[in-house]
Amino acid sequence: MAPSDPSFDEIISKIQAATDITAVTKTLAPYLNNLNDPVFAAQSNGQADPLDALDPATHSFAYLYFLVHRCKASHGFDHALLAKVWAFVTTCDGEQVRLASHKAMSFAEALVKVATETRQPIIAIKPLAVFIQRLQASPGQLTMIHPLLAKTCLLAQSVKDILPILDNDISDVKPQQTHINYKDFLLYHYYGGMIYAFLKKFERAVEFFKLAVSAPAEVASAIQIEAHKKYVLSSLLQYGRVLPLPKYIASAVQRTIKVQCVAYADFATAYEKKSNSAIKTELEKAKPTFVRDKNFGLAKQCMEALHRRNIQDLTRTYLTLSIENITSLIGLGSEPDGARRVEGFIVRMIESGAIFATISHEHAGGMVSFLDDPNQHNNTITMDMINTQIQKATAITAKLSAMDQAISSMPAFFNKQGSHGPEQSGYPMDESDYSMHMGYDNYVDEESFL
Amino acid sequence: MDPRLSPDPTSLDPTPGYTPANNNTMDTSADNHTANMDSDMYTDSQPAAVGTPSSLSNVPLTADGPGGSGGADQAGNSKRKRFVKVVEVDAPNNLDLDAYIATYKGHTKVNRLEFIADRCPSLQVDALKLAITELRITNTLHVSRYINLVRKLNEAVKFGAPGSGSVSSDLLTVDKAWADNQMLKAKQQTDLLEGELKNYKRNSIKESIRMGNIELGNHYYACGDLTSAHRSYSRTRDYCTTSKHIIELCMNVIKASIELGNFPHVLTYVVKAESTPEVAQDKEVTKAKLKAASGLANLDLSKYPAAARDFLSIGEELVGNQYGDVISANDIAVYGGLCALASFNRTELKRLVIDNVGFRQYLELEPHIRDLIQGFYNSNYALCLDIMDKWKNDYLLDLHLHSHIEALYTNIRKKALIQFSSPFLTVDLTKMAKSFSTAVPALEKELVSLIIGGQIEARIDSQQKILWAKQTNKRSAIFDRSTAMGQDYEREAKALVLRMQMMNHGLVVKGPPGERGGPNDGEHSFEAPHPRGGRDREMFAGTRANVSSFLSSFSRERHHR
Repeated sequence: MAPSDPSFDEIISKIQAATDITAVTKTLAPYLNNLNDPVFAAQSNGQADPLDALDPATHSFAYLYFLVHRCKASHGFDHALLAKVWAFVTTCDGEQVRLASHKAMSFAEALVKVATETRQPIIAIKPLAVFIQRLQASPGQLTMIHPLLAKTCLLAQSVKDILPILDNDISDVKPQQTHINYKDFLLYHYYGGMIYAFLKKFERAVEFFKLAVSAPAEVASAIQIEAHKKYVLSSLLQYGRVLPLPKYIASAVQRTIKVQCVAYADFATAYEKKSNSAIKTELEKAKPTFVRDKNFGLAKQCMEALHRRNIQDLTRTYLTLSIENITSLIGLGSEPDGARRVEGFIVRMIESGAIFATISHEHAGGMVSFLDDPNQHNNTITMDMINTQIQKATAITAKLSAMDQAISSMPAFFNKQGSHGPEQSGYPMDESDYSMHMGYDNYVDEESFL
Repeated sequence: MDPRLSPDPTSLDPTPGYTPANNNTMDTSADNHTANMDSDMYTDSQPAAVGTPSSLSNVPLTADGPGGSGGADQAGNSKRKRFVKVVEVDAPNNLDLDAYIATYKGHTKVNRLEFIADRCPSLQVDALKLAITELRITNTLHVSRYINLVRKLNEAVKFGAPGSGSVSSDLLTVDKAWADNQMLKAKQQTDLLEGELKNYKRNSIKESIRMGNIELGNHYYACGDLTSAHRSYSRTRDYCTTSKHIIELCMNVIKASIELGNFPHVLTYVVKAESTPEVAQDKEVTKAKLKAASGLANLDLSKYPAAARDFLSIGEELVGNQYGDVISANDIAVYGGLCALASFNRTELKRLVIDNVGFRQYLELEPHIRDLIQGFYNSNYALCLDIMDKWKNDYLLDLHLHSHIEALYTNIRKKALIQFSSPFLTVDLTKMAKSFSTAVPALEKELVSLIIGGQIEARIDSQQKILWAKQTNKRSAIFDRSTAMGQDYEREAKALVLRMQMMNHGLVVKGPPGERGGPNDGEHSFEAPHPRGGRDREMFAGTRANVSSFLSSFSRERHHR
């Protein structure tokens, strides 16, 4: 310790003196920021670890500083350090930690470094997951650590812990508090989509990729392009066609997509035509591109999904069909064990509820009878589901209308609006339009009844 | 060796040369002329030997014999991209050549005869004989056509086509003297008319210029130079003063366009003519002629419903073949009947065809069409398909109809299938197959394609071969749809809110500053004096528009899924 540095005990006492959040912000933060790094590495004269003297819950802010440095400095598997880390993340005070968001990021990075050095990325995952949940001001807030965690999970191929975080859609982005930038958003959704694809939850994967691609942009980001490629494949897998991207997608992104993702667009058009041979040829043609983009696994899964989708289509035209016929109809007739594979598909689809059918082996080769959906929609389950849906819809509509009202009452907007006069907007100023009731009414009315 | 329908490829050599055959060449050779009409037929170079086709749905095609119309392959690609296969018809069942051709006059008579000669070996010689006689009798100025026809006749006789024995030698040899005489006459006339036209133009008398152009057009038409005729007729447009002139112009152009095969043109001029204030005389006949022309054009463009309506609204004027240089009354019956059957639903069929008094006279001329329609309406499908089958060969020999017969027949058959299965809850496929005279597997295939196309609401029990009408549970469907809609709505609304937040906080993908050099830097610094004001206003306006449009249009968009 250099002579000019304050002594260890001074630091500790100062830390302990700052008891509430205001004190922390006003006095402790600048003080600690001014200290040199080696200070944090030091130990007291009595060989006591400052970390022991501080309580992670009440002195989270300072604890964090120390911890960052320890992690950065550690090599190898330090069991004690990890125990401290775990204690910290499970008990730290969110508010204080939020104040030190830069340090939080460094902490996360250091932790990941420790984990990778010991070649056990998995040890970083659980603590980070808990840490994020503490760091977030609300469950849907995006922090800088989200993409880091997602990436680590992907590398470790352990996704159990991140799932609760992923399932909470991001609804809150406040760069002032969290110091995130657009890359965090894009990367998080890109990795998140990949995680969902890994879990074969393609509906969510498509959502995440869509969010990444349609993020506001003045120029196209490479992350968005990669996300788009995976979007195309996941969409084909889940829906059999590429869902149209939202209208507000940036034009720069659209242009770049047209240029960069040609192979994917071709594959998608061939896929939508449902001719097995054509799709196979497209797949072969595009194979180098897919392999280079590391999307070949997804593309192969698309082929499987194609067979399943074709079988589903058959349920609409046939009531009963022999397995032989099914095999030839979906184009697998020429494959040696086509019938067996088809039967396997059907069994799995029945189990997963994708189709409703019974297989009887009375006749040679098996006969499949397709049944109607036995769900009559006349029970309480349906009622509950409808109720929750309605509540969610009204909640979000309320939020939207509130935002709308807030904006329209801002002076800046009002002035601009006023200068153009009433002819510009075309929507009347009376607020009944924007009550949630009206929005909901539109939605109900259009649904009435065939 | 069976007589080739079309001449050897060597003799047909000119055809492939002019790929832009139809409208551009000034060459008045007969080959050009036939290519004009037949180019679309010669597109695919696979002539086939066909008897009465066994199944109505496809005409089996085998590549037979020498290249035949192989040379004509390229010519056909010029105007129309449709692939019409050259189908050789063994013998039409019901066609009486003389009676059939008597209803026509003028150029279309020879066109049709040549068409038949090209397609049907058994009638080849007769048709060519009649054609040549016609040319001689009318003292045609289209000499090259005459020469060509004589040559074709010689070919046919050489191959021993039926009826060759009775061909008199004067038909077989080109009457050189007469031919030269005609050509000279044609040339003289051309020069004369052009000279006169120049005169008129110098004198700037509108009416004479117009008449001069018309005369010239008529002359070119008689010589077979259709493009020049068309051009001359079009030139009269600037000199038309009364609506009578305009009508005359339109009718002339229509005539030339039909023969050129330029049917979109025909439609334009029909509209033009119909919109001019009418002249009193010949009003009804002109109207009918226009309707017939437009019907023909629509038929050619495969717009069967429109064609049907046109033909059905002609009224009684053309019963006496007044428009015989384009279309005969029998044609009206056939074209109108078939198009109507292929495109109308039951009510329309009853209202516009069966109850149509004006159309009845035409149907009398072609009683089998009347029976066909009645049979269909009374669900007597075996009868319908039988009639269609019997007359198919004849229609394949028809100049305007041949390329559409397949489509029309398929349409009619589809409608028959749909109509057959509509009143029933369950249908036994074997019985159905019998009344449609097909085998069960083929029938099943057809039904599957109809089901997938959404035209039949049913499902097939392929084990017991039964068609079950589908009973959709509408209630469940609604629940499913509403849940889906709810989820979509929620997702989109959340995305919108998130997006607004991101834009408000500037979480936008931006390129690195200064990367693109000067201008970007300039922009960047420009940002500073107007950080919140202008940009914010745009954002507010944009986001507000987003929100309200989202709220109001979400349901409308989703409804259309």
